[in-house]
Amino acid sequence: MPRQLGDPPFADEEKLYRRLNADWIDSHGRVRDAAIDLLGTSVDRGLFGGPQECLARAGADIVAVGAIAFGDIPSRFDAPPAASYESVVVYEPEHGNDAHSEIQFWRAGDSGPTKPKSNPMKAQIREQLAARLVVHRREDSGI
Amino acid sequence: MPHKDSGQLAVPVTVLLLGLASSVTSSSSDVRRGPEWRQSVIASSGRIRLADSQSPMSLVTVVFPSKAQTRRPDAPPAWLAEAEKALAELSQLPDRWGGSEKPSHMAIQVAQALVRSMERQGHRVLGSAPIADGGIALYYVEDRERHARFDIDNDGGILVATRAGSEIPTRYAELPEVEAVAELSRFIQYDDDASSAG
Repeated sequence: MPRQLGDPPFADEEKLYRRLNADWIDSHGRVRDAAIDLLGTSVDRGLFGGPQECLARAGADIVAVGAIAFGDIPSRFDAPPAASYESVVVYEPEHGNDAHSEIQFWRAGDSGPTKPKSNPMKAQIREQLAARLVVHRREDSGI
Repeated sequence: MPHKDSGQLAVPVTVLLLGLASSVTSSSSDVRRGPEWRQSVIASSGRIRLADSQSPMSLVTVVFPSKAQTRRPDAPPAWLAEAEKALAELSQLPDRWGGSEKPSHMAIQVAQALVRSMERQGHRVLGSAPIADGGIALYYVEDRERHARFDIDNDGGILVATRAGSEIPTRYAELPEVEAVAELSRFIQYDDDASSAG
C-alpha cells in the first residue's frame, strides 16, 4: 500500500480515476504505459464521485478514465542498480476540482517527488501502474 | 525478385545450399522434391525451409527478401505519411492535455526517423502516444501476451521495451537508433518465425 498525504485520508478501497485520451488506450482496451506521468500522475478521488462524474468534469478529448483502488497502487519499485522508488498519493484539491490528487514517485530516502533518471525504472513504474488501471469509457463517447 | 504478393513465387528460385541444388516454382506451402529432402515454402514471407527427412534436426531456413524490403524506395505506403503527420501533430497538444510535459521537437524527429527505419524493415507502427511526462511511445506489438515498443524521451534517447509473454518480465534496452531498430525488428521477426513454425 502506498504512503499518503492530505486530509481526509484515503481508504484502501477508495477508487482513483486517471483521465485518459484516446492515444492512451490500446486496441485491447488496456491503458498504455504512456498515460503514467512520472512528474505526478493526476487522478480524481472516488470520494467525490464515480467514473462518469469524473468524466463530466473533463474535456471532450478525455474518452475514458482508468480506475485503481488506493490499496492496489504498487508501493515500491526496484530496478537495480537504480535507487528504489516509492509511491506517495497526495490529496491536492485544485480550483474547479475538489477531487484532484496526485500519485507521486519519491526516490527512497527523499522527502519529495523526483522523476527517475533510469529508463528501466521509468518504464517499470509506468508499466506496473498502467497494468492495474481498469478502463471506464465515457457513456456518451460511442467508442 | 523472387517474391510476389499473390503468395506465389514469381520466378523459379534456385536454392544452392549445403551442396543441394533444387528449383522451386510451386506456390504450395509444403512441397516435396525428392525422397531425402522436404521443402516447406512459406511464400508470404519469402522463406524456404529445407529439412533432411532422415534427420529432422537439420532444418535450414533460407530467407528471401520480403515484399516490404523489395518495394521501390520512391513508393512509401500511405500509412507512413499518416503516421508521420500524427507524430508532427503531437507538438500542438492543447495546454490541458493530461500530461505535464509535451513531446519535444527532438522527440518527434527521432520518432519519425524510427517509424521510417522500421518501415524499411517491413514493420508498420500500430500507434503512437505522447508520454505524459515528456516523450513519445511507438507501439509495434500489443498482443494480449506480447509487447514491443520504443519510448523516446524528450532528449531523443531511445528505450526498446519488449515482452515475449504475460509471465515474462519486460526487457528494456537503451540503444542508439540503428541498434534500436535492429533489436525491435529481431523481436518481431522471432515472433513471426515462431508463429510460422507453430
